[in-house]
Amino acid sequence: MIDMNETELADLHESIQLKSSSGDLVSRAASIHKLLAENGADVSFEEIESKLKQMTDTFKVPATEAQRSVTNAFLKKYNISKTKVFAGKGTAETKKISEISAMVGMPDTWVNLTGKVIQIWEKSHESIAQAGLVGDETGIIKFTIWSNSETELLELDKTYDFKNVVVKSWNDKASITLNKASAAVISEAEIAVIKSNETVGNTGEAKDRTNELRTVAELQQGGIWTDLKANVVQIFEQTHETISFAGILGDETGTMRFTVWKTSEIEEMEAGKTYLFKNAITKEWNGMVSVEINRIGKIEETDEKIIAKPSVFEVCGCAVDIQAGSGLIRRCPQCNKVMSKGMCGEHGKVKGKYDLRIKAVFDDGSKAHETIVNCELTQKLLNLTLEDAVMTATETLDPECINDIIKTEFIGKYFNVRGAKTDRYVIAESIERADSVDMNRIFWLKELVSEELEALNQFSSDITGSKRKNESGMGVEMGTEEEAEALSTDFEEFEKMLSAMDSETESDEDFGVEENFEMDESFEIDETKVI
Amino acid sequence: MPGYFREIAVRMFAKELKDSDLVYREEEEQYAPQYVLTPTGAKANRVLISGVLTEVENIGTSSEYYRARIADPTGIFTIYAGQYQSEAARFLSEAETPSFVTIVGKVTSFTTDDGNTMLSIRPEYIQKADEKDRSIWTAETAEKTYERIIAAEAQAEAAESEEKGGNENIKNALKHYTPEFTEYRKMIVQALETISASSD
Repeated sequence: MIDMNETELADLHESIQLKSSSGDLVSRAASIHKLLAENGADVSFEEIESKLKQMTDTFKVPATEAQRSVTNAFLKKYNISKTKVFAGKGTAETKKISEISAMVGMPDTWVNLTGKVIQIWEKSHESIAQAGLVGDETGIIKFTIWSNSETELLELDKTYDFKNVVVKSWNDKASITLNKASAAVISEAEIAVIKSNETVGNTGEAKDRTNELRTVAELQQGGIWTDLKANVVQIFEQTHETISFAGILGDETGTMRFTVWKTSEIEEMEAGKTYLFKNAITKEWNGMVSVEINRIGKIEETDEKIIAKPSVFEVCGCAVDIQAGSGLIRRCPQCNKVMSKGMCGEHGKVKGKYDLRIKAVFDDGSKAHETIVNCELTQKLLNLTLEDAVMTATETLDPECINDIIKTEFIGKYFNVRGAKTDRYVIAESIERADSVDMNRIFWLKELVSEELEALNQFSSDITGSKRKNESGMGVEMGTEEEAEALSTDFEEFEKMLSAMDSETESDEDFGVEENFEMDESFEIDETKVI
Repeated sequence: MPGYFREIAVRMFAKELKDSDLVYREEEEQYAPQYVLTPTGAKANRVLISGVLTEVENIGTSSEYYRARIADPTGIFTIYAGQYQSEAARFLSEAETPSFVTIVGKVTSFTTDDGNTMLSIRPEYIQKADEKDRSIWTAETAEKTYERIIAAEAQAEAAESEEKGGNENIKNALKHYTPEFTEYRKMIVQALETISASSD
């Protein structure tokens, strides 16, 4: 979990960094400084920089998070409304539509753009004043004007300068929305809108367009147009009439799923061959990224030898269930399928051979990963050979007894699981107990939240007119101590409050229980069906 | 995975569950899963908790029915186990207090005559744990809770300028609870304090 999160944050950080100009600490500090100055808060550059540095160096906060946190802390301190600030001119960059379309998947961002209204759609909802498409020479994008935005409606075929519109991602597509802070002014400039009969998101793509050649590892988010040189590892059986080929491709950096749509008119593809995929687009669904070849995509076979590296899947989660079919099982000697009640589904009554496996569910709080552990690994984890397992089961006359051992060993414990991910299961290659907490991570989260709390305190004490703490030159230790002191008093009160609440509800609870108990049977029936 | 969805075991502190009273089913039918929506916008059917078993009582009249209290750094979870949770009931009948336990279970609700919603947990599994397990859970729960707070705050902020869009759960939670996130930040710090004080 912890490692995973860090990687995710790093990825996110990286992806944002790649796309935003504010890469390093100095430019981040500069942008905060500028933002604050524009809003009348006189904070020294050094103070901002040292706060940022403290966040990134001491507390290991990712730089984007540090920037966010430092910005917000100062805004709160100086009682500046965030909405007002981020609608401010300073933060909205002027962009072309193709650039905006590429911002899909990023957090909502303010931009300026110039575009021509090329379509106005029928009103679909009362909260939407107007929706349609705007275009420029690089692309076309959907726009929405909310009813409460107090913006004047746009006219068809007019070109507008849009100020402070919000880029939102929805269904793998970016669109722009106009709200209270936005403005659309008729532009002097007449712009040529890209000629294309493609729909939004596919704007201006043609078979001969050029894309950057990327590797699988570089395609970890949806909405990227790319070229890709990869080996076709596997082609699935035809699943749908609109799909020509679907399967798995890979290069030296990893593997991913692909879909070649019928519209591409590609008729030949063979597993094991290497192709150059042109004009492919990545799609993200359920957290899995795949690459698709549609109408404008094409493939070229190449002689280059590319060997796909299998993707390693890693998760840290708590074992929350051991599923049926775990422990000592029997397999059909002919087809190797797991038998049930001494029967093979295909070959009937056969003398099965014993096998040991675990089907565990590891839950990381965001996803439940069904995991299969093979005999070899199971023996190692349980410190029990297959022979011993068979013997134990025979002695106790209970084949389920191995399952009980597994449950006791696994459930409620955290594990680092590595393996290969299939559609449904993780096939485990290694499983280890996660047996320590990352104290650094705990520390920075504590500091981060404490700092936010302090900023909130500061904010409220500013309002009541009590004296503002002089923050300049505040060292780490000093800040921590003060916070700790302030917090500990808070906690005493908090705990008092909690225990007061506890004793208050205690009597209610007791009263409720008898009722609950009588009701219990009907409740049970309700719940047992819910898996 | 068509037709199959396993409910995630949501991580939340006792205080957050205690503050929750929005319980609903997404479908009308009798067997539809029941969810609780918490102030920070977590939608939970299943939960994972780790803490200290402080009290076990057999409150059943005709058959065994156990009520137990599990303490985390922020408050108390109440769990009930009866004949349909035979393994959990057996565990509780033999369990020592205080001791570390980890529980996977379903949130259940009961409405009292005066309209209060009582939430408790019906265990699927109860297992012995140790301080390390508790620390890992506490750290993880703190992180998950903080992520939810940040997401909810961002959405609350965005809602000032816009009405549509955003996460349904957060939207409903904001509307139902008008949560005070300062309180939950304090809760997080409070929980994290226990780790630095007790382990490593």
